[in-house]
Amino acid sequence: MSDRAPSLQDFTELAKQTLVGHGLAPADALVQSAGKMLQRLADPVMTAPSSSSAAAVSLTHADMLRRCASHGAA
Amino acid sequence: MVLPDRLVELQAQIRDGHLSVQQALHAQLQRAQALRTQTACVVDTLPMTAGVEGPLAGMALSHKDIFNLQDRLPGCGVGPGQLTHGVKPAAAIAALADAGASQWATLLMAPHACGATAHNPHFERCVNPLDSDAAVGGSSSGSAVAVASGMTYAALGTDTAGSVRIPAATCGLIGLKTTHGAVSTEGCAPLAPSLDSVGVLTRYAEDARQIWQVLCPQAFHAEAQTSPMVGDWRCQLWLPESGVDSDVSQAIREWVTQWGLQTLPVDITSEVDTLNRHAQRVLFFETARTHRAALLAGQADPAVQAIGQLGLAIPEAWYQQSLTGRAALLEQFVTRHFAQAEFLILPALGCLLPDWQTVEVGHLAFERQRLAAMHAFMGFVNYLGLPALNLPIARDAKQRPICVQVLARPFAEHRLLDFAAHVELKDRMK
Repeated sequence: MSDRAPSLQDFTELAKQTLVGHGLAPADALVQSAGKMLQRLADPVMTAPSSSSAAAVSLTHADMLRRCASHGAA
Repeated sequence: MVLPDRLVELQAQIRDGHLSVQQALHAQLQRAQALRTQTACVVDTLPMTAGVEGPLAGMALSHKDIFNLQDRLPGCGVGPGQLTHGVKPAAAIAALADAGASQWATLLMAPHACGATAHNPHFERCVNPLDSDAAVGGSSSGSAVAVASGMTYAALGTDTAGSVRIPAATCGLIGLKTTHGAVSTEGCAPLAPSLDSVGVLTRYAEDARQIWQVLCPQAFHAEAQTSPMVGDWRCQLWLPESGVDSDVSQAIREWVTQWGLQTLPVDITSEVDTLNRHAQRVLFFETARTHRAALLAGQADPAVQAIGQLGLAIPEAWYQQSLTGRAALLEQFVTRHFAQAEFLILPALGCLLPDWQTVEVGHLAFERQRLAAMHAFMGFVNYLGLPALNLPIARDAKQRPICVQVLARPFAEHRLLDFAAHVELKDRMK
């Protein structure tokens, strides 16, 4: 398996597969646009932080909103 | 009779017996009808029932046409509402009615809440009351126009990626996006449920407070704190080095100096970029899920297609990854920005308020970058779920509003309103 960074073509192929998975026969223009979007949204820095709080791992977003509401938290 | 400028003043007149509820409603309706043709922001007028008790008795409000009403489904920006027996009012609408408020109209919005401007091919163009050449933001465009023109003291909107704050910024209004989940979205047509929030648009902060405390009374009572003087509030300030018009940055700097705000400059460009990408994954994926049937049948509105078709291309695993990391990213953001400061201040729009033609997709004068600048600083706030307030602070050379966005900890809406009430301009645009 190659370690090379995914190319636009890889994302375009992923977009096409996903669209086809919904039962669509997507036009080429849509596939190209979707591929560019996936490339933009697949930034490798997009990993969740190693949280300072173990609670962040198990809490839901709604729970975390409540936890962060008070000045003593987070 | 001459109506007062503020909702709280009208409340006082009724409370003191200078005006009856019926007289107040009649006067507001007359004013609204007189202004209606100038702004093209009304979808349907409603048979108004007068609540006689409660803090909002005598207030004739109008709201974005995205909420279920009694026996009426909303038109959601693609047509008039549909009379449907048995439909119950949305939770937010019911809360206002329980507090005595009346509703006289439903208001224009971008089709299915998909759009950062008022552009809507299904309706006549919605006109900005401040300047007819200026753009009106979306998707709660009618709500902003109705409030800015004086047709109503307050209007509800919804905010999934800036849809309350952008129209508020274009019309020089207070625009409060509430904490995700603080106000029930039950009975409100969804776009992306993980991001959707009910919001409030008013001309004055104290008027917004009257609506907020009815919508979320538990949060209001839980946070009774005294307000420091403006200069004692500690704020972080983010003025991006790129993507913001220099006149906007300069206006914000001058405003900070004018009020003596204690601001700590921060650069969160990278952080916001990452959060915005998560927000887009969720927005596009959930929009596609909400409108899946219409998209797959090729019958979705073009405004929905523009987002939803791309959303269908997002792998489910990517979406789940963004949801899974959300709580930790929220905790990290709050720790970084609200441990030592109460507010984070940043530009609302990245550009000066443009002419409407330049941000209307398909128009010969359309400029993609200008449209992008209108919503560049919005989506990440919805992803985090934080409350945010649009606050007008100055006017540009064309006398169009320049606004900041003020962010706070979850459920700190009343603190945002305290802050806004202290600093809002006395000579606000009407």
